[in-house]
Amino acid sequence: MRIEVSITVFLLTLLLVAIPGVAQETQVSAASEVEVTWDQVRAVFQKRCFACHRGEQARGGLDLSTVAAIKAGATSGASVVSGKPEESMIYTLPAHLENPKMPPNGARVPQRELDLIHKWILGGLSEKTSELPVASRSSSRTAASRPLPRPRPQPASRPKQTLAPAMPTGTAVAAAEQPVGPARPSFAKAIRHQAGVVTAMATSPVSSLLAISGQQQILLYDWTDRSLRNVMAFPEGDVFILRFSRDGSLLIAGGGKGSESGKVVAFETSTGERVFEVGNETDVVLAADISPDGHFVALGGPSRVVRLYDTTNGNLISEIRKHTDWILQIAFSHDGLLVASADRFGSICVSEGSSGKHFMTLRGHTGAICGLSWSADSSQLFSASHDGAIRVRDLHTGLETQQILPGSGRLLAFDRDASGRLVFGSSMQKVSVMSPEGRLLTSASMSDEVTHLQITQDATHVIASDAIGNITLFSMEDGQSAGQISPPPASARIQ
Amino acid sequence: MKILRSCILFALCVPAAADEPATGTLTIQPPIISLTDARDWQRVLVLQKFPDGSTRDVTANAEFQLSDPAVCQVENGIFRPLADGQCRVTVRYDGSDVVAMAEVSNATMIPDLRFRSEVLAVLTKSGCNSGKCHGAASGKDGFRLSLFGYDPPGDHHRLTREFPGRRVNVSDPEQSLLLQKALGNVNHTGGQCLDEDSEHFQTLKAWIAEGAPTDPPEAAIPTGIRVFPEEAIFADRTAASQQLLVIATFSDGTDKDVTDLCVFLSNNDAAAGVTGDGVVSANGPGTAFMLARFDQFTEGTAVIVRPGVSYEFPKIVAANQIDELVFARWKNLHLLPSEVCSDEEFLRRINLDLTGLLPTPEERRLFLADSDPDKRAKRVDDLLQRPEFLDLWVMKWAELLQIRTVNGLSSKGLLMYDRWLRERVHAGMTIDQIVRELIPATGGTFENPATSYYQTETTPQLLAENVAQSFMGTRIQCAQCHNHPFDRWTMDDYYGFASFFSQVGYKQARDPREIMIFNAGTGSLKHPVADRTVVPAYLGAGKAEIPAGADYRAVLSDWLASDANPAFARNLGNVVWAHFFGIGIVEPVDDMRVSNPPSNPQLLQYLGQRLAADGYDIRPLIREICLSRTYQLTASRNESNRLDERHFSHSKVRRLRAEVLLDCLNQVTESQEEFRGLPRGSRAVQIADGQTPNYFLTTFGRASRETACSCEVRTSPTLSQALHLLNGESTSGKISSGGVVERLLQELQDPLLVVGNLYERCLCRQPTSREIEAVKDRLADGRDVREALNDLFWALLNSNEFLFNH
Repeated sequence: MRIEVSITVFLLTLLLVAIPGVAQETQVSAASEVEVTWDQVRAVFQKRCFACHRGEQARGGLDLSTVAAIKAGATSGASVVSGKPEESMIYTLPAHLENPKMPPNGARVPQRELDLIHKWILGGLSEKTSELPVASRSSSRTAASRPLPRPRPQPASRPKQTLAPAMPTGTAVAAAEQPVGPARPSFAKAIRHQAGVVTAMATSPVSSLLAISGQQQILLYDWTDRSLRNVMAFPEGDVFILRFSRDGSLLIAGGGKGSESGKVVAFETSTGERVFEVGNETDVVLAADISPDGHFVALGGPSRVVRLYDTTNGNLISEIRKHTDWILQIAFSHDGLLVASADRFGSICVSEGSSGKHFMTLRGHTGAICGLSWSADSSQLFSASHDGAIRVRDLHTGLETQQILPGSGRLLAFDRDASGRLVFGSSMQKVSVMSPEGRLLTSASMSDEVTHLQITQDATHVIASDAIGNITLFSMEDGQSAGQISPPPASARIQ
Repeated sequence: MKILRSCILFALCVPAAADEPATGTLTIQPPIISLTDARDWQRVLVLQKFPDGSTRDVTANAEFQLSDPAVCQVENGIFRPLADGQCRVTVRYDGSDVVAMAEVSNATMIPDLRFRSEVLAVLTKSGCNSGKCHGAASGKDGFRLSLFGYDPPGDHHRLTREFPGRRVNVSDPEQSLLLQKALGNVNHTGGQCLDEDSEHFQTLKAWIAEGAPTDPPEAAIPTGIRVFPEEAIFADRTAASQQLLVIATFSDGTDKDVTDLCVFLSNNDAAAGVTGDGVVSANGPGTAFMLARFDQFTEGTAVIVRPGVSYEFPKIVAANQIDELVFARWKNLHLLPSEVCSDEEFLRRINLDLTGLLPTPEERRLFLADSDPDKRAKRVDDLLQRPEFLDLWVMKWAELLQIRTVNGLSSKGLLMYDRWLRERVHAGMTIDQIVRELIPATGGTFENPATSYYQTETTPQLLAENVAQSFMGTRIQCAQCHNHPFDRWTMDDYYGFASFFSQVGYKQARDPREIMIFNAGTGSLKHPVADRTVVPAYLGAGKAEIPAGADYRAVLSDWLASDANPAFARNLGNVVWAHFFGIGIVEPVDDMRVSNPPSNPQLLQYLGQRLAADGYDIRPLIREICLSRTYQLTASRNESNRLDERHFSHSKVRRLRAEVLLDCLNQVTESQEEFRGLPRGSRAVQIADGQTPNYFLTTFGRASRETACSCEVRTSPTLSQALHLLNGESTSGKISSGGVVERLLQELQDPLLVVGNLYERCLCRQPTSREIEAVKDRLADGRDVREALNDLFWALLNSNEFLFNH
């Protein structure tokens, strides 16, 4: 009997542990004994400190990106004393125990995160990571034969209906607690249920597939019948760049959380499975491309650095630090020898595709660059810009061979088909098609600024989106609308 | 609020109690509480004013009684609507009461959030678009907003369109980077700027949830703000704090309490400071100006903190209207003035101020011997007639006209320009007449030298800036690129005013040194943000009616130097005042703005009115100034006015400006100077070209006339000034070349008489007995008398008493 009871208790305990919530709680209560690993602390540093304290140009000479760098200290001396958090500035400054308080002028880092730093120092600056090493995790394509478990799509968090009920009635309102700066009555407007704007778009070069960004998702459509074929989760955040590989087998998606994290994930187009992921940015990825042979991915964003990764092992090959503003466009040449990156200031850097070695800088644009396109023989680079111009450069000489000024206001989206026709979207809410010589062939109107457009694989249609979320198919021949794509609101897509 | 109704209600606001209670009277602001939609609310201020003039904010302790509690509710002095209707509000405190009116309309209508006046206002209030953050010319961390929100459509575009889905995410509002950054949830150089449960944050979130719309074209826009109370007088530094109330009026006739959306600043924290919520607290005796900024409007309110000691105004008699107005200010501030200065002090001061020269020992003797009680007035009248008086003012006007060789202005053109001005001033022309000839000037720079004004600066923008600064005392430069953050000027004002100079034509005359200025008749300026052509508009006085074919500049000058533009007379009055007191009523004199209010508004207004009444002749005003008791106060201070710098309760000790100092050095050493283009023996104040090289003048901070700024004249001390006086040619060289000591020794024989003469000529006084003793010791030590006296002379020229007017 007694034994039976003990067994029951034991089983109950097991059950309890198996229930995720309870298990987590157990973990938290036991946290003091559990060793804090480097990746946990690094996540805190990444979120709170990396904007200033990372890499070669770190402020005060303090680089928090590796344990070795932290141990090396800052220009003002040692930044950490192993086992003694109260004597370590990397704890005392963010904990506001000492001046200068960190982050400067900001709120104190949450206690939970401070505790992690504290325990990590106390525990002797562990270099262990609880996650698997990057290279083995972001496996090569051969490794993809062992598909990773498909991540469950996470619901985009919907606007909370917290905007309190309409009117202050006879009861005292919030102002009673706030003698100065009284509260206004809350906003009681019904929140319109709205689909987000398109932040990225890509058409497959070999099929009728169209990829569009959704909230923490990627929607794969067949543009010919405008049917939704697949949904891929991107719990890393919002997607700001989509690209198909040249053979259409892979779809790479770049994005992340603003001012927090960014990476590029490659999906198998046919299955929607994740194949590899690269990048560890402190802000979203805004531009990325995969080399024609699939060997390299180049990515960039607000960090102003283009990073070149080897997709077979996830290793960072090179950092291109030539840009002075946010990286907005990246394109490998068709022969894969070169990669062009363009920024918000209007500069274009051309680097060697496999090494990142600087090749040439192309200046001339006076506004952000919205599109890059290589000629089929990779000898010419087309660029379109907010300054309203499309420029063509010869990559042998670096000289401009053609400049087209469509007179359509700022150019916001750009693509080019195999026959050389130029398609662009503008701030004047127009989608225009031009001959290679710069003659206007046709144009169509949208309801707001045209933010993205892509030519279909057969060069019969343009798919364009505007700043308020419309997605329209236009005929390349006559500019006639051939239908709309209306992604369902995020809430409706969650399986 | 309608004016008519305000008038009717004014009657209502008179205290209900017939006898004024000894504890003070109550007032309520605003007298009409107008609530025009469901989200509207209105704070009121209840003020108690005491017989001695001091005020107290009693809103928190006042009792509110509503005639109809169904219409609105009140909590902590904040009214909120319940149902449409009107109701009488009776406010009681300390035995007094006062009545206001509450009006509620559209009590159930929830209006759309307005981007410009609510959302952008939150960003401005939170400091997002300040100059050191995203309001910087190129933004911060890749995100730019217009400085203090001068460009709402541009800001809306950058928030919603520049990176669609990043800053503002309408499908998932809370994930918008704008909100995540504001909360400090993600890396933000500016840290956390808003609390999640603050109303400001809720405004931003609700706006995004509503689809981040821009304002429809018909949306009401702010037309102005008013700050209450209009004046607060704290009895002492421990007095209770005062809440400010800011009401904005809108183009649809509504008004709104925007106190919590205003940025507040104090211009003198030593006297009183203000919190971000608009709560003013006293810090020490003095005056301060509380500034509130909302949208493109900046207004303020004056705060006085009294010293908190018993005060009785001395029995002194006002000599004229100036004294009356200055005395009134002292009484308000509880300031005690210094005594009237001695005849010696007066004589030196008046001579320097009116002629730029020192009184001679002979003049001093005659003045002291004169027993006429009106001798000071006689002296003023005498000096006002001297040509040196006019020379001094020619120099001042020449600085405003920036007469100097620049932009290819030839020496010949320069001399003609200078002569043009000099002749007119000496012929008795007043400055308004000169300006009316100057501004519309056409012709060759030799044929009509006034046209040289258009050669010193050549762009409409710079010309407009200089005219505004020189003749209206206001700096509009900021508004070239953004609305002035601390003044009323917007880009519309700036480009409207600059448009007056958009049709100035230039061509080469036959003489290569001469340029023809003519009215081109075509040309206009574009508003850089709105990208539209601007029509000429008077600064602060609306669009100009321009007859067809008229020269814009002629239209401008008819208005500029006339009674229609009170800023002209006010600026002139301030310039004149500053010359005699070393500090303007508005200081700096050419920086009159909302955030830099006059230290005595009534006095400034009087000076302007007086000048306009005198046809802009400055002499009668100068006479009144010099004969006022205020001007004739001594420089030594008492316990009460020890810290006063702005209210003229004692004479200000001020260094002689470079030209006057050099002239005085030459005068007392009886030596001569040579300046380019002038005969030997000319005075420095007569120099025509601001670029004339002279080491002394440059070192002592003369105006090079490169800008119209009054700040070009520098009287602050520098090391090189001290070294130059100690070791340079200007003192020892002039002492030996002038030979004053030798001549006096020959004439007077007695070294002590020579000592007296040196003191009189340099300091306008006899040496004190202590000084005599020291000199005697020196003379008795057997050394060369001549050398000892030259040393004394040198010491006198290096003394602060010589270098300063006091």
